Amino acid sequence: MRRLAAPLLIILLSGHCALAAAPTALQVLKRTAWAAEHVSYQGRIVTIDWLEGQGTSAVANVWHSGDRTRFAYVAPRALAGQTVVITDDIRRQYNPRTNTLTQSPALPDEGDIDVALLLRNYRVTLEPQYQTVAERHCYVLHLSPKDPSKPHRVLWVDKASGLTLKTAQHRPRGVPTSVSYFTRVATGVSLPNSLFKLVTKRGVHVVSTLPLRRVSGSHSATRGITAPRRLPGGYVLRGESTSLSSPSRRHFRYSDGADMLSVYISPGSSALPTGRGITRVTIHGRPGVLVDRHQFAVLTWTSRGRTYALVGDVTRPLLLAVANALR
Amino acid sequence: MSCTKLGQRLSLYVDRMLSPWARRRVEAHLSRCNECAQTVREIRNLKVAAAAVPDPTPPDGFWERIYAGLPEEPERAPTIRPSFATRRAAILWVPAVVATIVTAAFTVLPRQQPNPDADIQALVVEHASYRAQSPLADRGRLEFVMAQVSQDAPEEQ
Repeated sequence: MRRLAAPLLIILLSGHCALAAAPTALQVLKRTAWAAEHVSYQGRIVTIDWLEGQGTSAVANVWHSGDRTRFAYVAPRALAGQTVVITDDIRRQYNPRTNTLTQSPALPDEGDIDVALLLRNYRVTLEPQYQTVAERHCYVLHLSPKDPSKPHRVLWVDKASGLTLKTAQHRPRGVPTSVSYFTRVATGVSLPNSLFKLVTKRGVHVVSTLPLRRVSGSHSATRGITAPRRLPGGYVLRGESTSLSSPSRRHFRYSDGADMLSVYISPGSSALPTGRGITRVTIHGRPGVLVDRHQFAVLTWTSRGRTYALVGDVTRPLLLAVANALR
Repeated sequence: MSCTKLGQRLSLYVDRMLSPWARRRVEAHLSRCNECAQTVREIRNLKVAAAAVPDPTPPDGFWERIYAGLPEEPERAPTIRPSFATRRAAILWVPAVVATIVTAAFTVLPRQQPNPDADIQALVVEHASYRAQSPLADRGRLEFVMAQVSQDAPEEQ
């Protein structure tokens, strides 16, 4: 009996230790948020987006260290051979075929994740078993929205480094909207500075999609423009500034803990988009236009001498509910 | 759920991209349909075979050599220096013409409206620029969105 007791005790204790060592869903979530900022890596990433039944995909080699990132696109054909380098809060995309360098700002994050806010809006759960992504063991973390019109998100978090190696997003009833995953990855790598220098041909044509620096202070035209602190869907105001796209436009940024919604308000009535791919809607009895642009829904309308625009990755009913709450 | 309704979901099921609700439905179907269960096994085998294919990695300096091989910008045609009389006339007339155009632009001609479609593009870029920096953002996907939007960017700003 004594001979049996010792191994039994060891088995029981090791089982207890394994249980004690298993992290909670919240710990994994915090770890992956930390790793996104602190873990250097190189690998190959595949992204697939589904929009209204049609899929688009991309394959890119990626290198990341500190606040510097380099993407080298392999596919699709339109992007193959293009390089993106993000350094010094600027994103530069070079197309060697047209010898064009497109610049846009890479804006700094507005703080750590707000766990309390996230838990108000999502159920965070961890699957009991590991799964393998890019030959690495991963925790599988589910962010299930309490509002059924928001996307459900699944994160595969590398057990060793905390890096998210795969992300899938789907609408209610299982319709996938996007998935991105590493097919191979190495973490904690030391990357040379030369990787983050963009080499271009002579006579490169430089285009800026937005001004690269934010104007400090507020434009006189936007004084008096305010927005509510809370919006439907559990969104809370996290930041506001003069919009980069126009100095006479105010940009309000809302978060639900995991996702972000932008509200743009400018004085005066601007022309609404026209042409193919638009849906006409009514907000406060006034006409509005809904457009899908690369997985983001954009809703614009004018009301009481102001032009509003909402940009987010949410369903149309939620976007309309938010629009109707803005007065 | 029938075999025809299952469609592309079998592949998504293998890739673990379905919601728990959809996954349960697919599993219920697979438990009673041998043909679909066999398809799932084949997709899994294909995935294993595809994963074994190594990724070709370009050697150092590959892209730099490709860029170097692309044709340079065409040389500009030589300019002809105008005579002194032509330059004196230009000194007198050019400011007058410019003043007329500027006056017309602000009085007679209608004010140009911003292009709302280009404006939408700018709003998406601004939103995605903030979104991409969030610790929980799917950076690969947002980068793909930004790459596509930049591809669509107007030629001159």
